[in-house]
Amino acid sequence: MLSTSKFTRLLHWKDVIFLLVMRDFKARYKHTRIGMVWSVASPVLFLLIFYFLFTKVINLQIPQYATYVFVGILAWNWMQTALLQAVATISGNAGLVNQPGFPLASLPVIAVASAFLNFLIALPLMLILAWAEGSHLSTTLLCVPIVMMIQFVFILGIAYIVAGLNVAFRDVEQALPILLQLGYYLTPVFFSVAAVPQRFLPVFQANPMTTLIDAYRQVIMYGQWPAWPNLGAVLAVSAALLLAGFFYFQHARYRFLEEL
Amino acid sequence: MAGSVIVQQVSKRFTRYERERPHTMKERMIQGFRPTRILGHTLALQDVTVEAKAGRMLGIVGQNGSGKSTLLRIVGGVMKPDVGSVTTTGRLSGLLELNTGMHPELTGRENILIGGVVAGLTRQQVLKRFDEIVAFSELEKFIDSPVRTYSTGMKMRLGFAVAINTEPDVLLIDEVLSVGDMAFQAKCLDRIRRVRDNGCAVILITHDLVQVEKLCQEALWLDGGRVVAHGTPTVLVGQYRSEMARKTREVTPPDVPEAVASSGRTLRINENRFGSLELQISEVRTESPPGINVEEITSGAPLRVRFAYKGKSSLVPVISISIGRADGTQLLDVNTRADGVVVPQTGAGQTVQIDLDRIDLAPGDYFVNVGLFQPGWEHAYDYHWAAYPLRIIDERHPPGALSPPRKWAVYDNVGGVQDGVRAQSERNG
Repeated sequence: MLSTSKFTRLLHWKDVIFLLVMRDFKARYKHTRIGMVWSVASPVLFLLIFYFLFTKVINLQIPQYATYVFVGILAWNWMQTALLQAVATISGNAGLVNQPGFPLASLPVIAVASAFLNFLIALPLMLILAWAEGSHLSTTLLCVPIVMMIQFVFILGIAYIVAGLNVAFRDVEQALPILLQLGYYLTPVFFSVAAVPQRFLPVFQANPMTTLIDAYRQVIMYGQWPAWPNLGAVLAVSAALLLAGFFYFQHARYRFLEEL
Repeated sequence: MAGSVIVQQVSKRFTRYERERPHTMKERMIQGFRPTRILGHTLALQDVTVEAKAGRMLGIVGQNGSGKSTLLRIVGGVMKPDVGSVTTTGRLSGLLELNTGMHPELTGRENILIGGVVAGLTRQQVLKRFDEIVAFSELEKFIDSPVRTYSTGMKMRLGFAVAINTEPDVLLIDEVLSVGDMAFQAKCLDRIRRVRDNGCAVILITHDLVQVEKLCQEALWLDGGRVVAHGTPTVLVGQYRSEMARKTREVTPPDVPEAVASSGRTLRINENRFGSLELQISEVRTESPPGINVEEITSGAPLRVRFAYKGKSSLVPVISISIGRADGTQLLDVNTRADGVVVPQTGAGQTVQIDLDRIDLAPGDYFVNVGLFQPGWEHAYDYHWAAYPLRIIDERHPPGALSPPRKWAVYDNVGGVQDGVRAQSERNG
């Protein structure tokens, strides 16, 4: 619609994403005393609880448990925070949906990127924790950005879909927190798939979050290269989700204004 | 800058649902899980063809629900037509909802950047126009304070300054001009005129018919999604006004008993009283000085008009007061919408009062007319016309319409002002 070149449009997307992520970030911690420490506080508190529960109350016998669970918490929190913000992208932003020249489809990207900032802020802490628990941090750490990239694509694909679905079914907004909470327990965030009985194993392995969290653990804690075929499969599924999600989102965006 | 919009045979259909769709799980539980049924479809636009040309302003008038906003959305690209096409050349910008995307906790400076990119500019483009935006908003002193500390008027100025300074080739305006203080409004209108004269194609949606006459070179009248008329603003606005008057007669209930106005005149429906009577005006008083009901004042005296109304409690009318002659000439015509006055819901009833500091009209016989109108000016709720006489007296009887306070001076060409006063007459109403 805008008679600008593809390049300018790309530049515009970049500026929209950058400025709105900064807006969310600045606004979130504006009046707090400790500012962005809050973005680390929540995963750390969960870490403490899980550490107490599963080494002192029920011993799961997982070595380097603090790092193990912290990786899971951070990766899961990224998805959870991003999706909960993205779900109301269309239904909660009537002003922006009506705004000519505004790339509405950038909003889910902003949600995923905002939540990713929290992950990044906590990342040094995670590495310190890994080092303190005796992981030998090696060159496999170079794979962390790759795993992050794949997770980004995966979350974004789902973000487009839930935002689009929420136009027709506002229930999605209500159901999503519940589903995410349930998912938390069906993903090896604080336990290990090794403990899952053989016949349920395929269910866990089909979960892309399992593959992603395992990959983080491999490259950060164990100095192993990730299981490339599994990661590749997740990337392929995520890319397909993203493509489908993006088009569904655009469709829903136009429909949103048409329902009386 | 030379933009244009060509709308060709555009139609748009909306789906109507059985009732307000349940939006939460709780509502859905209460209503049961049966799916919401589709009642039918509404044709929001039918075969609309219109063109907005560079350097011209197109005014769109029509009642609420006539398809004006839908047309604007389709032109803006946020909605797609079912049939037909829209071709836009140039950069498009909208003055639709101000301050979208802005955050109250951030400063004016930060919000200008956000508002700018939301309106379609890159960060670089906003920075280039930054000083101009700040200057236009007149918020230099507050630009580093959080927007939360701004007054409503200041927020509006910020939003408007960003939107108008995007240097669009096509500008869409939806009713935003009816808010804000008069001085800033005039400045905005002036800016819009300049943008237009620089080759921008402007499309304006408004309920203010005077604005259409004054600003637009072309006008389009929509009703029920169809084009009723398309042409010169003065002609079209005239047609639109007479159609409104006809609608008012249509909604006027039959068999309304005659009522006696506070002036002692009889109010007869469709004669000196018009409207649906969903709201009813009573106890109209013309006071000068305040507190004393009069039908005669000297030119230059103050006038207070006061009346009560009640009726359907949910209605929020536009209140209009005018002074005119029996032949229909209006000498003063003001209303709460144009003056930016907030009118509350009618509730159990309201009293209206307007103080006019001076009535500097030439002597003669006038009427004070009072009216309550549907917010879209679609019809009158109650309009008393030529029921409250006002005679203006002035011992000097000048002809013409006005008799403002005046000072005369006739000077000698040679002597200048100081010593050359030969004749002077002064009058202060």
